[in-house]
Amino acid sequence: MEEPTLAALHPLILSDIYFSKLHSSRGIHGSFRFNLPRTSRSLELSRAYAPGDSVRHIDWKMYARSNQLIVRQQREEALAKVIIYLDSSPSMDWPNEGLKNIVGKVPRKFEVAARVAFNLVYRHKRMGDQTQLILLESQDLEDNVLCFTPNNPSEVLSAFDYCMNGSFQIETVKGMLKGEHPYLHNTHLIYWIGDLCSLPFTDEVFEHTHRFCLFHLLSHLEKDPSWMEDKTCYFDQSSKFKEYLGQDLKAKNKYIRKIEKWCETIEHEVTRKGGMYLSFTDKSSLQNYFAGLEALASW
Amino acid sequence: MDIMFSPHFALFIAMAAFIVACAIWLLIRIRRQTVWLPPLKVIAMEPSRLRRLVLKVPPWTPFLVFFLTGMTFLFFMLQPANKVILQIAPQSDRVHFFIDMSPSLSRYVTPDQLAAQVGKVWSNWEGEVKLSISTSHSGEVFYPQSKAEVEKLVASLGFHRAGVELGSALAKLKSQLEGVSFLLIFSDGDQASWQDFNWKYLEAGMDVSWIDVKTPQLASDNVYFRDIFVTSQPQDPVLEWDVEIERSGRLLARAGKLRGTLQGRNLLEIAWSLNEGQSRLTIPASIPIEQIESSTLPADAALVWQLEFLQPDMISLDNTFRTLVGGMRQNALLVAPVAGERMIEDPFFQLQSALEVIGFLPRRWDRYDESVLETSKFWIFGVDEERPLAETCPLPLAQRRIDLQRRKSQASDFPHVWLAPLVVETSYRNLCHCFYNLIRAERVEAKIPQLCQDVYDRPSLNALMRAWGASRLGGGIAEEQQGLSWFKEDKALGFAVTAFTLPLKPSKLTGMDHALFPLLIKNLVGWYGIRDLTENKSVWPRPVNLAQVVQWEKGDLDQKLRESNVPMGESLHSHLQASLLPKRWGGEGTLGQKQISLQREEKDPLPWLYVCLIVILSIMVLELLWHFGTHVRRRFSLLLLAGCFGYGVPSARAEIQVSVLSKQVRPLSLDRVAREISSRTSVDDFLGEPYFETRGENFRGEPWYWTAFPDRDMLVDRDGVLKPAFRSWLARGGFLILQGFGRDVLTQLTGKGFSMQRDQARWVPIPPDHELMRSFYLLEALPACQGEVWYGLQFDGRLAILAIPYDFLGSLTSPTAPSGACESVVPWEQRVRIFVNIIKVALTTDYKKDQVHMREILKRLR
Repeated sequence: MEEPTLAALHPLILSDIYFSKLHSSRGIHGSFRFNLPRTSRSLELSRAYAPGDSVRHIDWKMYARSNQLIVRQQREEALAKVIIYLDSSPSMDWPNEGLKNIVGKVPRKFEVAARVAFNLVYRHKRMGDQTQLILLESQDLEDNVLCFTPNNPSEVLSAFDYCMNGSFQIETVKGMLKGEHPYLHNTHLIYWIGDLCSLPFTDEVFEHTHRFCLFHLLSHLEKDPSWMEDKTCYFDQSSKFKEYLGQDLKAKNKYIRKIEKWCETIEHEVTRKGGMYLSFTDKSSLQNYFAGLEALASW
Repeated sequence: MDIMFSPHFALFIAMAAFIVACAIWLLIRIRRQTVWLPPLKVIAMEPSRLRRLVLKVPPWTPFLVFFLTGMTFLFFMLQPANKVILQIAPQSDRVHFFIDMSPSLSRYVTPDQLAAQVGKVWSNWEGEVKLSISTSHSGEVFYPQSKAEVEKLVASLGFHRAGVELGSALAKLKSQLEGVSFLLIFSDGDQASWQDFNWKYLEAGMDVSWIDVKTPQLASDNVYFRDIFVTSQPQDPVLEWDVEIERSGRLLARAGKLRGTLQGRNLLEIAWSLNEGQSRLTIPASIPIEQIESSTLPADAALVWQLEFLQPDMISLDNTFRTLVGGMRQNALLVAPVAGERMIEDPFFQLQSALEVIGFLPRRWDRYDESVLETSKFWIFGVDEERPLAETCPLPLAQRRIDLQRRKSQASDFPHVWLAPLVVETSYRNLCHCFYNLIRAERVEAKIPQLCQDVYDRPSLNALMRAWGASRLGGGIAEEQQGLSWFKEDKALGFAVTAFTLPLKPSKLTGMDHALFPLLIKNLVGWYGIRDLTENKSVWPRPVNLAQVVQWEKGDLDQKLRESNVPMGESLHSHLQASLLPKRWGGEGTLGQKQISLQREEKDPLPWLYVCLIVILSIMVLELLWHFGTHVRRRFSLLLLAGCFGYGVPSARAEIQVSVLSKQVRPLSLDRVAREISSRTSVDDFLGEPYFETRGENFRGEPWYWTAFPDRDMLVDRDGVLKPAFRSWLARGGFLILQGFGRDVLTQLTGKGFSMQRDQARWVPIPPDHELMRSFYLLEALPACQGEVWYGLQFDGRLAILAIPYDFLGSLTSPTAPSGACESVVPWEQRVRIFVNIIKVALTTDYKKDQVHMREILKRLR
């Protein structure tokens, strides 16, 4: 049996991933933990004293009873403000209909991106966070006003079903969204899901949040040129003069190396600025996806 | 076969088509399949050179089809046609002779010789076709009946002196040339007559030829008048002209005399000579004015200039030239009493002198009466307030004006009349009276009218003139009512009268300066158009194209036009090149023989239309063949083709008709039940008239048959078993309905071992769950008859034969129709419902067993 891929991702597919910072426990709304610890009575949150810990958090009664220095501290949890940017540029609508005759049925990048986005939205809403899904049409973040701000997780599921019934067409998703002003101020976490071919991520995101995660989503066809035909011409839509023969692209793995170098460049840039870079394709397994989320959680 | 089209144009079209085809080839070259790959936008790849042109053989067939179609249409646009020679039909065709009788022909032929030529050609066709003739003299068309009449007509007309352009002459005759199949022009081919003659446009409706009337001539010169100018001033005592003569031809030395005559009187004779090679000569001529001035000389008297030669000249008509006696002083009539010493007191003395200075020849009368016979066009009257009006006012002119106005006639010989007072301080009453009579009165008033009686000074006269609508001349802006003169004109008659409010006399009182007085008079004369003082020429008509003269169409030329000067073009001896002329009749100028019978050429495009049609049809077939032979969607093509053909095919309608197998036709109308079926079901076309199969031979064409017991012999053989033919019909889907057959008969019908296909057919009563009971309506039961129920023969999963125990069909004609015991007890509604169910079974058998509906049925079950 084939391993399920991102192309089959559904919001209900969750994993036991506890975000160290983004953790929601029962009874407490919010997945954001304050940095400052406070003394706690909870037995679950005790540990041995280590040099450097604040003496205020030492359980002196325990020390009196057991002569052991035990520290009990916890961090307050609060609502996290999470924004998920979903790239809706024309390059996300690839592979297009014309390519079906050549490569068969391959999910479009936008469909995969939308699945990932809804999965993340659902996850955060489950944790009680204030989550907003914004459709990216412009590099200027203020100009992107098509938003989905669910009030509860069931709304996320309804929206996902609606988009799925519309085959994740960009226009279908747009129809579901409303024109709202995104709450960029004091955002705790920003996700950016896109292929970065038409809309590269902007440094502006770092002005609004400390935590930025880039989901670099490409189609497996874009990473692996083995499907390309030698005599077919591959071009960039923005420039009619950038055309390459398939045989030239495949020669000496030229194309693959360029793509890898490009991805490395982006990763380097994102991590340098303090963000996190995750790269997937439509054929990436859900395992890899969850592993990425785990890495994000422990970041 | 002669195709009439321009080869140059065809070549241009072919080249253009070739270039367009090549361009299309390049444009629709097979493009490399291109695929958009988004990451190419952001990754830097070294540019690779792509071959832009991939030579791949295109689909030739569509390209050829397109090219052939284009060429065919282009060829069609060139209007290809075959030249067809048609014999002229005597009854319907007409031949017209047009004879150019311009002066240039006089070089070669005399009028009699020309008439003889025309007559000769005429006689060839006389009696064969309708003949008509016209000349360049006028737009009149003649229909002479004989050769003699033709010759007489031509000879009598002679050559006219004016030039003519054949193009405009024939254009004006076009309406009269309708029905002319053949136009023959007699001419010398001179350039002046033939230039700008687009004879080809005439060939759209008629055949045009010309006959060259030139006869061989000895080379010689033609001397003619170029022009004659007046060079002296009107006040000069001697009239001087410059006479320019020119010549065309061999330019040998010539000499002769120039003679000038006026009304038959020789006024001058000058010898001239042209040296060899000299083409132009100006001869100064002078005539003392006393020789010309005469009181009886008419205004349009012509001075006739004549060239005389020592050697003969080619064209004699252009050796005579007429000019008006121009450059002379114009006559003027002055009527005013003499008062005292002329120089000082005579009111008209200075005026007379001024008129003489500016070129008038004034004649002075003291008073006006019938003895004054004046032909000049300029009359000045000094209106005396103390003398009778008749002496100082030309009342006969007034009467003439009134008479002409009453008759609504026109005239053009009225003089321009000036009325001037003799003194400054005057009452102006007589002047007003005279002005009123001349230009305003409806009858000549001997008595001063009331309006004029109220005039007593210059302002009042000015006011009255203004009120009469006269045009003011002179006066200041501050004194706008104080005009110097008042002008009024009767435009219809060309009669103008000017009334002056001051004496025409330089003095301190009038404000006119002595030195400037002649200029004032000159300006007044010029202002009122009495004399164009800038014109110094003597103008005589010299029409280049007589056909442009309005009178030409009516053939009503006046004397001046008949004596017009010959235009220079006729004297130049220049001919149009033969390629610009239509075909010459007779060849080599030979006439008198009928070279070929009268024929007419026409264009026949029909053969080429057929060719184009065949090519287009072939192209269409080729296109269709290629279309179906390629990977283009055949289904769509088939649909399209079917649509094209199907469009003209009458649509087939699905009709249901009851077929009755019966030995004879009986009256059976099912209209009532047909209406019921149409209204209740989707079956719209149920024919109320059944079809009767009486012979049993064509039964295979019907899907079902109703038959009654009396007609069973058509179904069964001698043993009472169903005939094999019917069996096979049933096996192929036929549906048989038997009426009135008993149970035992039915059993006998199928016989022992009766089977169709593999199933043993057997008769069973129609059960309540049979499809017949629920195919449309839900029936509870089928009506029995005398203990007999409805039976059905099932095989192959369907009802093949239905046996009804009574005449069910007969009961469907109307609710009250049946007479049998079984039929009458069944209500009409039930009968209709049973029949509808039978039809549905016949059409669809058991619909629930149809696999097509299985999915929908299962859905409902869920």
